[in-house]
Amino acid sequence: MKPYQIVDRYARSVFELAEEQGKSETFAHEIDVLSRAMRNQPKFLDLLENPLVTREEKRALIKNILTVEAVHEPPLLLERFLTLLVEKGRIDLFSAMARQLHNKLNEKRGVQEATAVTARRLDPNVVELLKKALEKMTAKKIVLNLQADPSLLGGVRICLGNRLLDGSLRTKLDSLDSQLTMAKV
Amino acid sequence: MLKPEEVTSAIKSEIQKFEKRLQMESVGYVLQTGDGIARVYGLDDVMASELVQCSDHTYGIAFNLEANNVGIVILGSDADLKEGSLVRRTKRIVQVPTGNALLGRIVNPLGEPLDSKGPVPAKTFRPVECVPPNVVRRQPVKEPLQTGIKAIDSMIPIGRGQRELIIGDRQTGKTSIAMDTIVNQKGQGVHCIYVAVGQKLSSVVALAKMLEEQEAMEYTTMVVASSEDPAPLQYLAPYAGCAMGEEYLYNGKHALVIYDDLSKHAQAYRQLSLLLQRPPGREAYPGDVFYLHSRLLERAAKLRDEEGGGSLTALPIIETQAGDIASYIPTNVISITDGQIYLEADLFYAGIRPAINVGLSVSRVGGNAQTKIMKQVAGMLRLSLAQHRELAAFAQLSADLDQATKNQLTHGDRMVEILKQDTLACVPLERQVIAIYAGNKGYLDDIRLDLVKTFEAELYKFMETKYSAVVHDIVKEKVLSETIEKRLIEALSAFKKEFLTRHGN
Ligand SMILES: Nc1ncnc2c1ncn2[C@@H]1O[C@H](COP(=O)(O)OP(=O)(O)OP(=O)(O)O)[C@@H](O)[C@H]1O
Ligand SMILES: [Mg+2]
Repeated sequence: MKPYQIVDRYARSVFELAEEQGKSETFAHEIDVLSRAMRNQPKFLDLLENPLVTREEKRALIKNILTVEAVHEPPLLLERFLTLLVEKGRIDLFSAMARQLHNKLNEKRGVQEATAVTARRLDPNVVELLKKALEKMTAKKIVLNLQADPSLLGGVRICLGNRLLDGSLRTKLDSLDSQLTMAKV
Repeated sequence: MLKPEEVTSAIKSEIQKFEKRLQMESVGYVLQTGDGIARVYGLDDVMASELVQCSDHTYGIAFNLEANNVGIVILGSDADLKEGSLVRRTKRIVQVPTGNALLGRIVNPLGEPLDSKGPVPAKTFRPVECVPPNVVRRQPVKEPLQTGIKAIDSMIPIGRGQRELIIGDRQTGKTSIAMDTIVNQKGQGVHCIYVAVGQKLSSVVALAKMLEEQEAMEYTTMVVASSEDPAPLQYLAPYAGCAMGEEYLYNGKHALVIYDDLSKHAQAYRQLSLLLQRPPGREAYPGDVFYLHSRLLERAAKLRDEEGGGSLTALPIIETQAGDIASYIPTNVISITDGQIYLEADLFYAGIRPAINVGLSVSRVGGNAQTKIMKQVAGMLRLSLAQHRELAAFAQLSADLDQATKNQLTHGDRMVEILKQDTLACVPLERQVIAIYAGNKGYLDDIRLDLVKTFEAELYKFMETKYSAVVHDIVKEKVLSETIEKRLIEALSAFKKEFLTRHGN
């Protein structure tokens, strides 16, 4: 099976389970936290994949990291999910699954995430305008992430799911440049 | 609610507990082993095709680098390798000893001696895999590499730095051609390396004995991975032999490497790939089987004079099944090489040996790799012989032929006869020129077919005793000047008259 299919299957199942328990929001949050923590500590993934660490040790390990003091209700579903992934040897796909779950939650809420990259920080009014325009285009609620990248020079580049709306000055100049160099021949 | 900082610190403390077991930079643990393959956990940062040490005397090559394990092929016996055994990195690519210490030796693909002459005292080593010289460093093939076989030197000339494939069914004389070529390199300053892949040990022993008897072992190395050696060693053998040849190539000397044979090499690689679960393609060979041979044969080269002018000639051998040169591996290798010598079982059994099918054999760099005199004498030979074969096949069907056709057939038959040659009967250039000149000019046409071989033998003797000046000039000038040709004709006429009176015809 292709990795994407695997990721989707696991993510869908666990999401449905969380929904049945009415905990999809909390669960998505927990997953988010964990995947961020794991990204900061890449050795942890090695540890979970290491065949020299026994099954029992891994189970204990997962329990330990999830029962931190401040939590009143231990994240049982997350613990089981993680254990399952480790035992099925799919833990390497964890971060992809976390991303997929995040998307699933957005879908459920009717939210679409978009990233707008601009050369300078945008004026709040303009951001609002942009958001309105995108909402009209997609007929979904838009959560806009703003990023600044001076190399764009001007204009805006918007990532909308798998689509790229590129209105940046940089790209226009680049294409002009390649047209001019082609014309020389 | 779960808080990021807390989770992170919990993770940190867990990692610390296991710190010891996470330090796996240069060792790995065997997860699973069998069929000469091991899957190993750990070995962080191992390089592709790096040598790893499995136990005291067993080594392996890191073949598959996967996300969470390394696929290793074991060079040797995997008997003492168990689940949980330790595997160490060596931080170097597989190397073989090179240089003159290897002359006269029989070694395995790792350069370890297989003969009884003690250790190999090599001073230099080379990695078995090596990037071939680029276009700028090469020059066109121009010096001939004489095989001593009339049919080849005259019609399918091989040059130093060329890659010429020898292809044919089993038992059609493929190895014999290679052996004759080695024997003929005596005193030519060409170092020979014979790589035996997947052959019976008995035939390897016979070849070694033969080379010894011919005093050809002095400048020859044999690299042997026989049929009972594990597939990884068979896979490695051609690259090891090539590396030994490269030592000469890059030092301005000349080397000849024979790969006998690459079909078995491809099979060994197929076995490895399937065991490593790489996806099979056509005939179950993996997708990169073309690259397997192209990267090997690209290493044959003729370097520019500024680079020392060294050369590495490759004579790969391919065994076909029932003459099928259109199957996967043969077509691949044909397209890589600079020509092929196609041996046919029918011809072999008909007594035409070497059993070269002239029509299907070519040398794509030929012209420049041939001495001038041979080019002058044998220029049209290949074409006319190919035509003769067709004509002969056609003539079998029709009863009455006109006189011109009959004459053409007699002439062709004599040419075929004179190109026949036994094994280990190398013919030097001047004799080849004389014989082919005589045949071409029709001196044999009225000799009985069964006397042609006697004619040839006596002609050589006659020329060398009575007309040694002409022979000498041929050797020295290597051009068929008018004066040489005139004296050659004179000698041939004189000899023929004498021959006819003696044998009465
Ligand atoms: N020119 C020749 N004249 C007479 N006999 C020959 C000639 N060439 C080869 N033979 C004989 O034919 C036999 C097979 O030759 P050889 O081993 O070279 O064939 P091969 O194609 O390499 O066989 P294999 O497929 O087993 O490797 C040998 O016994 C050899 O002596
Ligand atoms: Mg052979």
